[in-house]
Amino acid sequence: MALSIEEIVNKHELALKKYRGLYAFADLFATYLVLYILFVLFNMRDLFLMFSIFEPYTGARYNILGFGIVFETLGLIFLAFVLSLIFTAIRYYRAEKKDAIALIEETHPVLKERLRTAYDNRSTDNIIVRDLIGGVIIDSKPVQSSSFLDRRKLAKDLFVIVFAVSVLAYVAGTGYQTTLSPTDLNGVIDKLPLVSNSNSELYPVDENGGTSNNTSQEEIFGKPAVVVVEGKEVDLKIPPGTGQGFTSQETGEQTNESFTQSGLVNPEAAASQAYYDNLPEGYRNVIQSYFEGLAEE
Amino acid sequence: MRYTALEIYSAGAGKIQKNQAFRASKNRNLKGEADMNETNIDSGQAATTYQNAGRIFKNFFEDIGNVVVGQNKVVEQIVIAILCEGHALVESNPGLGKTLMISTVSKAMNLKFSRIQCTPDLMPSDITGTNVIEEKDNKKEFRFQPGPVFANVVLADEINRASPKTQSAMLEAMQEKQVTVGNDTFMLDRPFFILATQNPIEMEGTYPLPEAQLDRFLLKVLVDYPSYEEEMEIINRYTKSEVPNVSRGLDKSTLLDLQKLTRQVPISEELKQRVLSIVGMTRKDKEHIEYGASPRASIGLILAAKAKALIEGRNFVSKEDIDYMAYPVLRHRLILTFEAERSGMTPDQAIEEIIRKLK
Repeated sequence: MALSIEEIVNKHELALKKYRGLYAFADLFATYLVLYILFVLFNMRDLFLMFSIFEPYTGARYNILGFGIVFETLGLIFLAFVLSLIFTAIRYYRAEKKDAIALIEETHPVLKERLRTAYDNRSTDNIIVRDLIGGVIIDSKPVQSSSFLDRRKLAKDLFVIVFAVSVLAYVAGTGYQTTLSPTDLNGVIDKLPLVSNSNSELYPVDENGGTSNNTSQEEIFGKPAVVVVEGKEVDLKIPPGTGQGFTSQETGEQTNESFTQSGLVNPEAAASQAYYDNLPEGYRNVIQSYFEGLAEE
Repeated sequence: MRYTALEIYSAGAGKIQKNQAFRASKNRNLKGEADMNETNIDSGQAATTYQNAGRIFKNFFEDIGNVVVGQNKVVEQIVIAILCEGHALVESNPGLGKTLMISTVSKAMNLKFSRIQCTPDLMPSDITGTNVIEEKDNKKEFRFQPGPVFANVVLADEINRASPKTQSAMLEAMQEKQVTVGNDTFMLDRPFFILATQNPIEMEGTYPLPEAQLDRFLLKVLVDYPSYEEEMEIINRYTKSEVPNVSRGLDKSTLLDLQKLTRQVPISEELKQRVLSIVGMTRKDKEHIEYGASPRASIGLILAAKAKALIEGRNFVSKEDIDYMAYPVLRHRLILTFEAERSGMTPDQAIEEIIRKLK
């Protein structure tokens, strides 16, 4: 029994929906793989060290399906997936979506304008419409839903997937990574509003006991505190240089001329590992001995 | 009271009894409404007409071509107007064969043809007809003498030379397909088609049709000069002792069937939207067009495209039909801005611009 014009169009529309789903999945998978490879190659795992919120989790291992996966890898997988989902969704919604009728008319010129007209007038009953619908049904018999499958598009996605998997296998096997990492972008990130760490709560203390970041005129430290020790007044003024701790200094005591004041330590918040790497050169032993002294006391 | 032209002729000199006429009119009106509501004309004759439509039109245009040299587009557009039950306004210089063309079409369709030469002193009654006193059996009685409008095809030559009052009488006949004389209303016989002509030159002493009245013409057809070869053929044909004639290839009932079939030609929603876009853009293009086309133009454009499809032997309307018919349907419904007119722009160019934008 011959199908009605509506059934023919619905059948092709259904096939088209399936193909669209297939394109979307292939796009998503290809985009995901490409993004993940880029993340791995450009050491994006360091990204998690740049944000203090992730710092406690870095290096942590999670057992997933019997595999021990570190937090950074999981994060990259998640990030790549979310981004590829967004990219695919944007591409999907921006893509020109032709309905089944338009596609059939495009691939089968004999049905051009006829199929659309017959479908739109399927509920009309007169001699001309019947004639048109009859002709369209006959001419649409050779139309196969599989002819709508965009094989070139799928082949392109497949090629990208195969290429990405190959690169991933190579990277996994050789451990190859570029020398670039997100920490190289620190300077750029600092300038970004909201993302920047320049609003850190650690401020360099200036000579007056204030902070250079304190833009307000309010004196948050107040007047230097003075204590009396064995009849002598000792002020508790914070000496220049942060991170050095308090040093008591008697009033009128001569400043040690041989003492060379160290530069200000970068006051910005930094992950401990990064901080360790950025210790001022030559002061490692001094700091080590300081803490050893503290431990002995 | 309503009488048909046929009834007027058949009644002859006898006075029509008012009650009988009323009853007859009522019955006829009911029948008429039923006819109008009839959407399915799958009678055997209509089906035959549809099946033979291609051959009918081919023979018809060949017949016309034996008399009228060239002007194929013009003849086609006149036939389209007839199929749509509309009317056409033809604009051409004198001597291009307008009268020959329309009289040939009416002869080929086996229709009653009349011609009105419009002049400033032409009165409405000269068109519609008037009551005359007739003496019979020592009794005097009024008898309605129908005017030239009581025909199937009427050529109103140089309509813009008639006074506005006469133009209005003719336009009532065009729109309502009826004529009112005194207290009586007379229905015109179907098919009814008016082909009005206008001369684009010699505008002095004319009464140009107002835009509202122009809107009642389905098409405005432009007749251009024939080509060299066509003119050579014209002088060859019409300088002999034997003048070419047309055969009666189409009868009235077939024409009525074709008119009904025209409305049945299906059109897709996409093309309906295109029609609305084209007509809508005539209202939005304020740069070139001061006043755009009315919804009547949208109806006219779809109908004309349907007729064009039927003539072409297609059972669906195509985009080309819409674009092709946009020119004759819209050109007399647009009023260009002063700047556009001053720059030498024509309505056809404005329509072309709109269609180009929509492509």
